[in-house]
Amino acid sequence: MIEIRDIRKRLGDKEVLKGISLTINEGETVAILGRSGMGKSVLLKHIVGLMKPDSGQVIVDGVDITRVKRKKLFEIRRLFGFVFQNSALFDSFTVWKNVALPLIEAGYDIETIDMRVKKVLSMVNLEGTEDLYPAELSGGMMKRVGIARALVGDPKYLLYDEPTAGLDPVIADRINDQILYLKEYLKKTAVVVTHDLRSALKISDKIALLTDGVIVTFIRKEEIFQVEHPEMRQFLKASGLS
Amino acid sequence: MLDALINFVSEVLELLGGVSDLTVKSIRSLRDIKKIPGPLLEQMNNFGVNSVPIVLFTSVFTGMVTAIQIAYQIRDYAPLDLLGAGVAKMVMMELGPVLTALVIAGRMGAGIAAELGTMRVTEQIDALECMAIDPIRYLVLPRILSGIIMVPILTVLAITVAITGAAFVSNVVVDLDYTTFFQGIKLYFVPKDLYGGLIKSIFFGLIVSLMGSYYGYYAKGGATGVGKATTQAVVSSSLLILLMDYVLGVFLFGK
Ligand SMILES: Nc1ncnc2c1ncn2[C@@H]1O[C@H](COP(=O)(O)OP(=O)(O)O)[C@@H](O)[C@H]1O
Ligand SMILES: [Mg+2]
Repeated sequence: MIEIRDIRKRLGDKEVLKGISLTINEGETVAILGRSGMGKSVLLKHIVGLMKPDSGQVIVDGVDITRVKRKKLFEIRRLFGFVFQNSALFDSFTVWKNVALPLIEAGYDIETIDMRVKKVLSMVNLEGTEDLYPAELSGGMMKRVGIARALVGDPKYLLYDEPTAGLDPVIADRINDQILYLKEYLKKTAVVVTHDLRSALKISDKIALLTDGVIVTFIRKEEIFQVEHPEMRQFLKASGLS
Repeated sequence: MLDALINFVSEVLELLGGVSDLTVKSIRSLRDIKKIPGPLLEQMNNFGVNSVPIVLFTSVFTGMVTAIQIAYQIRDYAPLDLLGAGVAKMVMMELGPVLTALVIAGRMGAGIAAELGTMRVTEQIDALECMAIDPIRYLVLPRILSGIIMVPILTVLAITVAITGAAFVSNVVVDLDYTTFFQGIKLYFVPKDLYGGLIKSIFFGLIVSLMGSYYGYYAKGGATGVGKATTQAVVSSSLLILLMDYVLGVFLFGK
């Protein structure tokens, strides 16, 4: 379980997070919805300790990660797979090495690593791309390599930063299916940051709406049409849902 | 006026703080020593392959022009037998280490800043963190160590090539035969001249790789930010090389 308790974060001269609390239960997929620049990525980075809040706590499986030593933080990070917005693949490494790196660094033997890499690449339908470099991949393929890399250590939690942003609608929908598959077959707990309401409705159980540094509604997705908040109405309207 | 001064002082202090912090973290990451050789060899190779041609080019011309200049200056006052010694001392104590370092600051310092800066702004460094890989150990430490190791090696190469070039022009232009040229070097050779130069080059290697790493590692603001980091790395390491050259010059050869 991930519990975010009243976190605040100032970046430059702007208070980006103004007291955010959110609980993500085991097995749930929570979408954090918001327009761009609202602090979604900043919030996601707090969950893995890439950023530290000015105040408040982030509790992962009972441990407050804002207070732990770096060594312990690294241990906790092994519970997470993080899919970055622009994939953040290492451009000097092949697909194979990109996906294998966490295991190589953790000291596994090469056969175990190779088996595991092949397995996660086949989960995202990328068999046979092992020797390609990121520059040779399409946007959708890069996203899927990013997902494979996040999966390789068999994490308990998956965090996605705008998994469908910048992709054409067909490819975006394929990524949604991918996320749904991981949720249903591997039972991963996930947090998906997105500005795409349709995608959020498809893949998540709950939706949190982030506006101006606060979460204004946090609901089960079935309840979406009852939300009165103007920001949510705008999202529904813009997505052609109301 | 006062504002500008306060700004300048606080920026310098911030830089010092940031660089010291990165140094301390790098030293701490030495604890993971068994994971270092792989990336280190890769970086040393990178450093060497990228820098050898330009170091060769710089040093051969430096050697040749130094020989001509010294010959011109001493010809009315001293026997030309001293030419080899003069060139060798200049090249070992000063020109070899400093010019090699400045050229490498432009080449590798910029390269390190651009590479790490790109990795920072495209979140590759965050990705390493998320994989529980310490980016300082994985990226910064190998670059700093390879600077400390490779710059002295390249300096030795530069000194050798410069002296060879000098011997060649002395023979062709000044009409001094090779034996006399090299005997002059041998006769007046003081080991400290060479060690002193190499000690300088170790510091210069540290400066180039540390400044490149610092500006790259903390780059922000997309492609513009990376460009800025690259320029700052080159400018600051060049200035620091000259400053350090003076300090070490006083310390090593000052009396
Ligand atoms: N490292 C940083 N330093 C300063 N400001 C930042 C930093 N990261 C994000 N911000 C600012 O915080 C706000 C939220 O950013 P972000 O979380 O990336 O938004 P998004 O919801 O689009 O993911 C933006 O105004 C951005 O400029
Ligand atoms: Mg974002």
